[in-house]
Amino acid sequence: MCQNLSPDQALQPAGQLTVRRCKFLRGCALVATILVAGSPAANQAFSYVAQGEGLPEMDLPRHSGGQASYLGDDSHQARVFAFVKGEHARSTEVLGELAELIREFEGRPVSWALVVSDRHGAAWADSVAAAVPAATVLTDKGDRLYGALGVALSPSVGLGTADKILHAYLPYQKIHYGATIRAHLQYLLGDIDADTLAHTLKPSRDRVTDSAEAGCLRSLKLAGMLIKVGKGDKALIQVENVLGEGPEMAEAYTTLAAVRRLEGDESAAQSAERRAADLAQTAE
Amino acid sequence: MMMRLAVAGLFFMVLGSVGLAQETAPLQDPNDVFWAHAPFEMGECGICHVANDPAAPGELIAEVNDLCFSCHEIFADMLAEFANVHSPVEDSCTSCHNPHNSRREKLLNLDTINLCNECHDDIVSVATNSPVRHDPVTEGRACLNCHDVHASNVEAMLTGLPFDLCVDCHSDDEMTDESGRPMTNLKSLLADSHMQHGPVDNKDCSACHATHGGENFRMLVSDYPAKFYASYDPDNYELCFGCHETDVFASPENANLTGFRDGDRNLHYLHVNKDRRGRTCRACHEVHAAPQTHMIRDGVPYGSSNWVLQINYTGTEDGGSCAKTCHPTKPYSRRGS
Repeated sequence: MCQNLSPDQALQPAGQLTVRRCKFLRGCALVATILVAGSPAANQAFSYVAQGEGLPEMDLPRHSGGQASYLGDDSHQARVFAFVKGEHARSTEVLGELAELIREFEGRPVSWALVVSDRHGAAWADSVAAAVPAATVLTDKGDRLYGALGVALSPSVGLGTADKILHAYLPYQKIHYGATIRAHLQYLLGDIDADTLAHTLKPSRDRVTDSAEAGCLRSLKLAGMLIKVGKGDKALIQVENVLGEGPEMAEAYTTLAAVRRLEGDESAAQSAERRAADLAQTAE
Repeated sequence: MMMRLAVAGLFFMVLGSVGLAQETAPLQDPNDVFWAHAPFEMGECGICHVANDPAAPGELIAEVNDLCFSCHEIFADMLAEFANVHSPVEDSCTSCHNPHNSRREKLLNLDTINLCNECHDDIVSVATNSPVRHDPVTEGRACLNCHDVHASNVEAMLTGLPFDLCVDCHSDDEMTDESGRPMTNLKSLLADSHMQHGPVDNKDCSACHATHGGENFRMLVSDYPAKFYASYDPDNYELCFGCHETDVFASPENANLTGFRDGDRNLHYLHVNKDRRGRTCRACHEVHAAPQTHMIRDGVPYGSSNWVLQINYTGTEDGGSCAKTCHPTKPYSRRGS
């Protein structure tokens, strides 16, 4: 299917870089483009690989020895690869976020690669490996992968699909970064649908609010407690307060009926119950 | 003596671990009381306590939050719907609220900023002591202007993503800073510009601005050159280099780290890395949004008269050109011209 880029290909100037893709991947790219087009981050991409396009294959030297692909292997349904730069607060922050996510997604078919440029020195690669031991730490010698993708920003995170299509490019965010990466991963793993993904990426502005209606229901609840301990007079004050706020509230008349029954006024209780039933029916 | 010290130590350990000014006992002085919890005001201690005797109500009949949620059930429902719940809420509603009475609305133990300061004193200190302050942090609803103290779908208990909150105020042409300089109307800027800087696109103003207050101009989180020209020093660009690669500006040739190059000749280096009169980021790039790719400006205010020097950038598939600007038209191509 995809071909590995030779070092020469990877080092070609931008615009000449040829990433070989088969027709199947082009089809996948189209579908993925449609899928992500509506996402709020659709205009963000690596310089040379856009969302929905195929990711170039490339093996890089692994910190623990040997070579490995930054895209994991065929068993992975989601491929996370991050670019972090040496001894930098934001990169350190992102390593912390990723370590947490790796723990959270342990046992799931996700590959985790941390790519460090050899510009930043071996000591930096050592500290990355120590900070996130569960990830594959890869050294990008001569910035081959940086150049192939067009990595202008680091820290940044890429997420690839099982078919090695770029699903999301996520440059550093101070706020909501972990939640953003998590949501994309959950989407790739089929845990959430596109609507939930969109809502998580750009949550609506919600507050925990105590509405007037909730306040009325709370007063009626208190009235119910007072009725239980035989304090009909105090319960009546609560009910009257609620009826002052919302005279068309069926629940208030149900509670009023209980108060009247406690007072021994069965006729008034039945009248209140009828009013509650009428209001409930009207509401339906 | 040792025993007394141990008891005192234990007392301060417990006090320290609470971290909040928990006032759960009723205020006794009627002059202090402006708000009262309905069951307490009615003398119905038995709704929450084992005895209905105000003089000796005894223990609670259930855990604090279970008791609160038995009436304030909307909170229990809503807390379950949010991704993040403020830890004092999970611990106990009485972390912040007096269950009997209070001087303050919502039965709060302290006014908002002082209550938050009980745990977040580092942030309150920044907000009140920084050379560049952000008024909404301490004025009006203070912390509550941006944070929900109970639960939120965005980290840091924000009620929305930072940009959505910032634009509430920063969408006014009349807004000025403390020295009277006009501030950006973000709403109209974004409406006129189809390219947005990554953090703006991610609604992440906090990536560049210290929203509680800071040391730098415009509450920027770190240094950013204030002028068109500057001697090149990476420290001056700490803000940009938080995400952008420092090495882009470090060597005259670079084939992988920048697209602004003619062949391998690094044009970022050429413009910026100079001992004298190096062009700063602002010479060519907008910071929030721009009508062109790469956040390139249409023109830049130049000189003391603020004459707008046009850049006339045109992009091509593998490069671009700037025309009749600081220099005559100069094309560049990553393939080499």
